[in-house]
Formats: sequence, structure tokens, C-alpha cells
Amino acid sequence: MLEVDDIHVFYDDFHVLHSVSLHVGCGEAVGLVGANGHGKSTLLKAICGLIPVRSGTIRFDGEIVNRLATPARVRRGMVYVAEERHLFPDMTVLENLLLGAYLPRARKEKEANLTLVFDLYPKLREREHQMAKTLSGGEAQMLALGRGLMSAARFLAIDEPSFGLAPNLVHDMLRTIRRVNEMGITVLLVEQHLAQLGHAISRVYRLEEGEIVGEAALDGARREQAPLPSQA
Amino acid sequence: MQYVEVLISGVAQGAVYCVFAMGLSLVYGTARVLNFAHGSFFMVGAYIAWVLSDGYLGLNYALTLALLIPVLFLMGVLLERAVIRPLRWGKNWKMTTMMVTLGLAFMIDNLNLIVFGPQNKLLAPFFEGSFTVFGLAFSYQTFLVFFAALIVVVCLELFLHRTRMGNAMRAVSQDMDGASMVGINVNQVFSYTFGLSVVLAGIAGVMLAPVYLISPLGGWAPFLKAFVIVVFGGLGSTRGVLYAAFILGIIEAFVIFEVGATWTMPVWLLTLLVVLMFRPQGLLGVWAK
Repeated sequence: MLEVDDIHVFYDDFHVLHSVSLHVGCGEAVGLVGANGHGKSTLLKAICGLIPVRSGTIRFDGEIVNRLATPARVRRGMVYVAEERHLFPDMTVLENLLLGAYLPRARKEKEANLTLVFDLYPKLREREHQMAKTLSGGEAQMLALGRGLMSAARFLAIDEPSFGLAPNLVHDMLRTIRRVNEMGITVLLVEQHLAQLGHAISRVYRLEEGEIVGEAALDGARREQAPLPSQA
Repeated sequence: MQYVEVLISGVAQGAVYCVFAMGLSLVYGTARVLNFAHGSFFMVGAYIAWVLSDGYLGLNYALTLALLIPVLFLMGVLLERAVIRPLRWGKNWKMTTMMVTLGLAFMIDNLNLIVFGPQNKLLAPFFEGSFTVFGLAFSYQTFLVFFAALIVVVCLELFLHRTRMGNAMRAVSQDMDGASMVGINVNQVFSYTFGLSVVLAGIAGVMLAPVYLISPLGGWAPFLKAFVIVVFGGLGSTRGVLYAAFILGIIEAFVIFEVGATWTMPVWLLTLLVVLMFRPQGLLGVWAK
């Protein structure tokens, strides 16, 4: 579904991503781990069009999407859930969710997706008319993911969803992501540590200093404590 | 009883200020541009209305407005596409666009001077005469302008909260990246915001033209007032502008009644100073710090 091939990304003159390649198959849930400042968020932003790539290609469903602006990628079902959340602070929870269904394709599925989001997160229904800026960290994270689902996502790039969450909430959040994946939505999940990915993924990449340094499939028993090739 | 008259004229004036200042605030909040040409578009609106009605074509007011609004909207969109967008995201683009809109203001003002000459133009009031209620005298014109302004403000609020494009504008003003991430075409929103803002400026110009005269530099005084209102209400907050416009409109009416119009600005600025001392972000400003 997603193929990233040999991309280089710069912030001004600073070379952040060096020849990064990865692929995510249709319906797969793939993890991406690496320490802070090694380019994980940059990679997700490049995939979703918030940062330009200087060279290399990003394909989605076989189509080259590098030159497309973010909204055009959202139209194709590529949705980014940011670590910083980027919610609309002075709008209600419901308004935030409905804006997720801004594009025509998502608008058609608005009712169904809203039911789905409220089903996944009953808490959001309770807070329906509350301003987004008054939400706690955990609720804001729910809203960010919920808004992504409202966009009729086929591919979700989720950036450090555990950021600022209490450990018990991290567990719930991972279970939700797994449920989302089981519904057929492809997931690329970024975290700092493999342990934070739990059972939500089946394969993982490690990013270090802007390069992919390892890849491992996680099956059954190895999921708990998978040693990544690069750590050796 | 005289004070009631003053109060009502202040509220009426505040409603028009609100229409005008909303345009300035919207472009600042959503498109991140401080548009110094806003006052010039106030006059452009009045001049076009004059050409369409009293000046040349002799159209009635309904037809004049029906033609005026799309023309103003297109001017705003064109301004954004041709002038602002090429500069956006460049080095120091906020300062650059500010300077460019200032230059544009001088261009428009001087163009008006060349085309229409230095003589003031007068747009006839929509209705002549006045009426008396409870011993208070009101001109029909004041009332008409007040209701027209109120309708515009209500429509704008409904537009911003109930329509797709209005919601997109609010989304862009609150989190631009978030807006992209849900698929909003941010550039298109910028263009439409400019269009809407110029429409609001022009309509305010038409509303005040029968009271004030139409002259090439006549937009600067309202522009300065709108600027004070926007800062008073809180940059980027349309609700703040709503309150600020009425508060300052009423203050102005009393100042004019008690000590004369020259004192409006000093009193306004003093009020602004006091408010900013306690609330640096303005009444309802979203961007504190």
C-alpha cells in the first residue's frame, strides 16, 4: 500500500533523512522506533506531505504522491495523527470530529464513522460539546485519532500516541489501534521504544540518525522482547 | 433622555464598525496578514457603489449591492492570489506582506484620486427623514444602517459556524497544520478569506458613505479605528471584535456628545491602554504571550 523508496529530506540545509526506504502492506500494522531527534516525525510528515522530500519517491497504491499537497493525500486516504495533535482548540469535540470528515469522500461516511469513533471512545461522546482545549492529554489523544478516523482513513500514520499518557492509558490506546487495524485500516505507528508498541504491530523498523538500520517481523512470543538487529 | 439617543447612535455606529473590523480581524486571524489596504477597500466599496447608483448608472440600491458584492469578493481573491500568495512563507513574509499591503493602499488611494478626482462624492441616504418615539428623534438612515449591519454580522457568524467554508476558515485560524491534516486546502481558504474581508470593508464603506463623504483618503480614519477595535477585542477573535466594536462605538458617541469628535481617538487609545494593561491579549484574544 505504501512504498517509500530512497527518500532524502532536509530542513533548510540540514540533512535529516538519508536514503530512507520502507514499505507497509495493505492491512498491515507496522511500527517505527527510534530515539528522539532521529527523524521519526520527519519521516511521517514527509509521508503525509507536511514536509517536502528532496529526492526519492513515495508511492501510495502504486501512485507517486511526493508532489501532492497534504489535502490531496488525505483525499486518497492517507491520514496523519500528529504527536502535537493539532486539534482545533476553540471548537467543540464534535466540531473537531466533523471537520475530520471535511472532504467529500469522508463526508459520505460521516454518520457511520462518527458512530464508530463514539463506539471506540465513549468518553468523547460524553465530552461532545466541550472545547477541545479543555481536554486532558488522554482525551486529546483520543480526539486526534478519532478525527483521523473521521477522514475515512485507509492508511493511518500515528506519531507517538503514548506521548504524555499515563501507562494504563497507553495500554487502552494500543488496544484501540489494534482494533482499528483489524477493521482493515493500515497503520504505521511511531514510538520511541519497542515496548510501547505492545501487541499492536506485526513488523517494526528502527530509525537511527535518519537512516533505517533494522527491520524485524514480530510473531507471537518474540513480540514481548524483540531484539532489533541494530541493537546488537 | 438625550443620553438614550446618544447610546442608540453609539450602538448603531458600533454595528458598522463591527462589520468593518471583522474583515480586518478575519484576514489577520486566518490568513495571518495585517492588511493595511483594508481602509482603502472601504473607500473602493463606496466609490463603486457611487458609480453604480448616484454617480453614473443610476441603479437602485438592491441592484447596486448585488453587483458590488461579487466585484469586491473577486478583488479580494485576486489580491490574495496575485500579491499575497507569492510572498507567503518566504523570508520575513509577515513583515513583507504588511509593507506590500501598505504600498497597495497608497496605490489604490491614488488611483481613486486619479479616476474620481479630489472632490468628495456623496451617496444619498437610502431613506430621508426621521421619526419620533417616546420623544426621541431617530433618522431612518441610522436605523437602516444599524439593521443592515446587524444582519451582516449575524450572517457572518452563521457562515463561520454553520457552513463548510466558514468552519474551514475557523480551523485554519486555530491550527493551520491541523487544517491541512483533515484535507482543507489552506490556500483556497486564504483566498476566500481575503474575498470575504474585502466584501465586509466595502459594505461598511457603503453604509457610512451617506454620513461621511467619499474621498480618496477617507478610508484611513476608519482603518485606524478598526485597528484599535481589533486589538481591543483580541487579535484573531471575531467574538472579541463584536464586543469591542459596540463598546468603543458607544464610548465614541458619548465623547462626541460631551466634548466633540476630535477627542474620540485619544479616549479610545486611553481605553485600549487600560485594557491592555490588564489583558495584554485583548478582551478575548486567543494568542496570549
